[in-house]
Amino acid sequence: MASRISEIKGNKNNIEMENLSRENKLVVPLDKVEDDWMRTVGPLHIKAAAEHYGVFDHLYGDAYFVPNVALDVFYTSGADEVPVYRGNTLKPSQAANCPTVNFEAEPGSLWTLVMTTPDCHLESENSEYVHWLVGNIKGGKVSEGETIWDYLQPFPFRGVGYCRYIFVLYKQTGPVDYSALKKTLPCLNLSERTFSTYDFYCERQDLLTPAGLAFYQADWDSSVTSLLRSTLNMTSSPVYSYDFPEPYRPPQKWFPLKQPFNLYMDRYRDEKQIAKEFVVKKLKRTHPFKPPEPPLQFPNCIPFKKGTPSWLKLEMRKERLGWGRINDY
Amino acid sequence: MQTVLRRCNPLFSFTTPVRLSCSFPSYIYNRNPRNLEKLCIARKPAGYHLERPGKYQFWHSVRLERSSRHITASVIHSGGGSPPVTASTKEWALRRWLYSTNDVGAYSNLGRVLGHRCLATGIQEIHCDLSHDSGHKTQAFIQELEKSGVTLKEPPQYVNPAPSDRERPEKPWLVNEN
Repeated sequence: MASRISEIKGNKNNIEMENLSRENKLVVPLDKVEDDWMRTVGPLHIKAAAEHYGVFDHLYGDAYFVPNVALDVFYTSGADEVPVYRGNTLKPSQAANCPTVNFEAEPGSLWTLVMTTPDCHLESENSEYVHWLVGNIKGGKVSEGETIWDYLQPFPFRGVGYCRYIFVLYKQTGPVDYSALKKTLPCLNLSERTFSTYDFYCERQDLLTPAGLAFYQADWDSSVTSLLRSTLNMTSSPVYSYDFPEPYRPPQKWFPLKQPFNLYMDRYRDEKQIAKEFVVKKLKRTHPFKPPEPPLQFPNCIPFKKGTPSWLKLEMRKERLGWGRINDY
Repeated sequence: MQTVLRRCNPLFSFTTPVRLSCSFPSYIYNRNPRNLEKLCIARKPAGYHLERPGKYQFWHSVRLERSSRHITASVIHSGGGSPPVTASTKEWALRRWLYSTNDVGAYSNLGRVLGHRCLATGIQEIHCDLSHDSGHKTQAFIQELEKSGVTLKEPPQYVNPAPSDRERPEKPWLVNEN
């Protein structure tokens, strides 16, 4: 405390610093700020970010921890280093190779590092895939630890959006026997990578203490397709899309009064029948060998045939202008 | 304790059911609570009729608290909860490099630090309600926040069109896909 006060007093008496600050030219060194931040309030900020991303909810249920050990994780893709902080976005191609993990550890202390994703499990909604698990890391040297699951790059499927990839560092009180989890390496069967952090921690809670946390988010890119086909030997790579809730349709009435009948009826028609009509119309217009006709500049100036009912005119106008359902098929 | 997830109303629950594939399951779940916001699908609160516009109509917003001696900037989420990103001149990490904790230099440096922390937390777009003409100190804060790479405008919410709607808006999650 005394040293802090003297440092602040030193700043206050520094005329050069005062002038810089007054002229808005004072630039704080961000890397040094981050070092001090990690030693002071950083762990609480990491915890707040993890709560924002639902990390503790999905890994430990109701429990949480304050990550007091600074976990420095970065990927090396090509010439540049891609760091992992607490929720930043990465591309799977950047995370293709095993990351470098550094943390401060006393010599002889034992650690366990787990990388899991709680999102987009293929078999069960509440399970995780373990991407990397190294146990009994002595003195912070991850490469010399006991690899239980080898590193597998993230594979968020196309269309699912952003998945979380979470690194959790545990401190061990003594050597932990991981022989029950041992798999034949490299482990390329996804169901063998099914994991539950909650169960894993419950079984070993006397030996392990969570100490560090880092996570990132990744969405699909082309490297996922090649990973699924070449490494995981899958014949196809899936494309998913978000399942929007069905639009609300009020229950049908016996006598729908004061409503245009065509719009009312369209709301309750069979979707397949509608699709069929639109596709048949489209196929009639297209010729297999001729190029499509250029669109008209003023499509609505073509006169309607005499005696066309008004509801049909509306449909024809919509078709000419490309409004409504015609865009779906 | 496993969280039990239901597939009742996906816009309000924190799962993302998605469908269609060949040998893969027809439904998988993305449990990431921030996923729908990143894809611009999540509901953005519309606010009340008589409310000040922009009061809660965002996913993430920057908030600046000025006290007599210190300034604290935080990013808040409209869904509530503790702020995911905070930076303050009360922090020793920042305090030791500053001449004063509430002059222009403090404001601009707080903006830089907050911007850096936002990017580290994966928040690239923030709604900013601090008006640009509110004073040179706040302006310096906003300028530095923008310079650090954060966009001070959130994309609009994508509303899934009904079959009868005239237009089919572009899907924001397909635009950025390579």
